[in-house]
Amino acid sequence: MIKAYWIIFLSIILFTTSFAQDDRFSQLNSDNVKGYATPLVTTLGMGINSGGFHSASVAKTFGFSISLKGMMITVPNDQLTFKPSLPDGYNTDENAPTFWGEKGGSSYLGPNGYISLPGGIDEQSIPFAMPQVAVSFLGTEVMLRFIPTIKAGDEEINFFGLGVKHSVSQYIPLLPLDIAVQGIYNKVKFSDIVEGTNLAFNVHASKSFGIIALYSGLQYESSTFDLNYTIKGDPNSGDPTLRQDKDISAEVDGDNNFRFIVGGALKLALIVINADINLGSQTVFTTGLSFEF
Amino acid sequence: MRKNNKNIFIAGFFVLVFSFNGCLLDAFDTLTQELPYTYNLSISGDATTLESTATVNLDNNDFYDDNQGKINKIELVKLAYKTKEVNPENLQGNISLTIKQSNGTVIFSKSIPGNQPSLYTNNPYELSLTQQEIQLANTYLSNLSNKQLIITAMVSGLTEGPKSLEAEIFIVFEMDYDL
Repeated sequence: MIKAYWIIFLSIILFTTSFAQDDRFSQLNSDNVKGYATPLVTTLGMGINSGGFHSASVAKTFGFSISLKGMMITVPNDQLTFKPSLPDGYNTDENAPTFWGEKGGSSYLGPNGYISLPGGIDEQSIPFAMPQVAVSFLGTEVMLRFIPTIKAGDEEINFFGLGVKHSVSQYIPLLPLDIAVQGIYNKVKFSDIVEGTNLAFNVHASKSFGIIALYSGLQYESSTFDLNYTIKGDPNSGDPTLRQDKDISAEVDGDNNFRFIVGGALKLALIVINADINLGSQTVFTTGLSFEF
Repeated sequence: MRKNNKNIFIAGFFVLVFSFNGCLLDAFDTLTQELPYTYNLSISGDATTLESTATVNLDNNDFYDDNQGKINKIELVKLAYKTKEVNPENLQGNISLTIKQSNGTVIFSKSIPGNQPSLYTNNPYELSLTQQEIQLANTYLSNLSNKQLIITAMVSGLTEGPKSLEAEIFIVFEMDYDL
């Protein structure tokens, strides 16, 4: 069980520890880190802001659910490269790989010699998973996502999420479907190296047909990650900003702003299995297994 | 039966998550980086053919130095020439670069087009390396104890009289190493 617990959070740990453990970020100045890391922040945001609901029905008396949500995030081709920012005299006709792009790096020739940028990890399908617990009462549901502090080497990871959902349809008599609004806040912190804040607001609706329910929603969201790392000064670099050791603190915003969600759920007594697709800056396929009453 | 189906589903879910995370883990096993190196060459004299030599030490890069022992592969990928200063400015001569092993064995030799070094003042020229030339260099570098290359710049077809040329050679190596 402990192993499974670790694997579930592996995605978050991998992404955040990669900042601390490998050298790829130490070849990026404060401009290029944004182009390089934006697709990564988008993926983290798309994953963390997924799986917030599989029904708009909220218990009027008391309800409880514990769920495990699994996601597969697909990164589109146009987020595998970015146009680097280089000093005058350097040609940027050729794009550089982003964090998800090709493994080999890229080098640009100009008056001061070559400027080398790091390669990516060559992945376009990113798994993500997280558990969540929700309690509902009088048409309002409070959802909690939480992991206690995890040690990763000398560093610590914390993750916390809170969502509040309220039934709107309870105020509209004879409405043939359920409608609810929801707000979700998530924070992930990896020591003082990475700190990410994710916000999401959605309106969603669902309709039950026996043991099957269909649901859909529109979500506005944002993801911002503060990245702190050190440039490893290289006197051979053509970029003067990369020649000396320097601490960088960059705020990177994800491209995830809006998404459309459509899916279905199968209710088998106290067990609910759901699957949906999220269409946004990146596409997310979500499945969930919930125990609820 | 119904309980079995539920167990199979849960087991399948975890297998899926484990499998994909396994693929992702592999992606973090190694890192490939391009490392730039710069070398200065100074040529001067009265003769009609002049040359200067520099020794490329892979150790001269912190990324290389910090990861020695974890390197799986290092390869030469790019090579460029730049004129920093030439005197007289209208000096004419044919420039060639020769890359040698540390024992002096020639790996390949390339000519810079045009016979005016001033063409490349602040305007570096990237040499187009053939697959065979890259392969020859990389065969030598595939022995990770070979950490040195010798670069010789030769200018020929010069007229007699005093002249000088300051040049920079830019090289990029691609290094693959374990994290």
